[in-house]
Amino acid sequence: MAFICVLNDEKGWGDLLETEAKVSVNTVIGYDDETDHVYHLYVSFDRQNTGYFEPSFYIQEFDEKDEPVYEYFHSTETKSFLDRESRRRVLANVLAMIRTILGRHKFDTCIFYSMDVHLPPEALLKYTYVSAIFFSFGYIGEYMTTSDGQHIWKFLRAPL
Amino acid sequence: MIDESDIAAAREAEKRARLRAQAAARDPAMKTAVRQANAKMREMSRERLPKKA
Repeated sequence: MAFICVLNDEKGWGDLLETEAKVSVNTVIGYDDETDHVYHLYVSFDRQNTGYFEPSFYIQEFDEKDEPVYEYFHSTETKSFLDRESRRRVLANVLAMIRTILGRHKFDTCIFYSMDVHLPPEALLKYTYVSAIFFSFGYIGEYMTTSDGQHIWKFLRAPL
Repeated sequence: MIDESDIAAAREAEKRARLRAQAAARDPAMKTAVRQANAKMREMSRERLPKKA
């Protein structure tokens, strides 16, 4: 595999989808010059049946016929094709995309789940950055680790 | 306040996110946008991006 990252720092923009149930931004992050596969980064806020919005971010791989091949939700998986600098750029863009979405939509409550359990402190750092963005948009937050080791953050928009 | 229903929902978070991602990729408008973005990416790649050894 020969993945080439095309991301700049903190572009924070791309194709935007806004519906009652979903707000998402996606942008191309790179290309594999051996397989002709293209990789997109998505940041999505989806409405749960509780009415809360659930943020998630992932990379989706598309094959040479533009069919989705796989969704990467775990950094352990993306390490197979993203080098350290590419991962840094992806994170910078995830944070910028979250800023973009929160700047356009005032969600009452967002609930955010880690996809991995028992994350080490260095892996939790990116969620600290995400939390800081929510706080900067006036949300108050709560955090817990479940007995299974999954991490949960809940953000409520503070009353004015 | 994070409650029991939030904790219960956590267990299926990845499954939900994966299903939503796959559904979004099947959306006709999204498919068109992806196709266009991919075509542009491949064109750029062939013209400008350095080839890895």
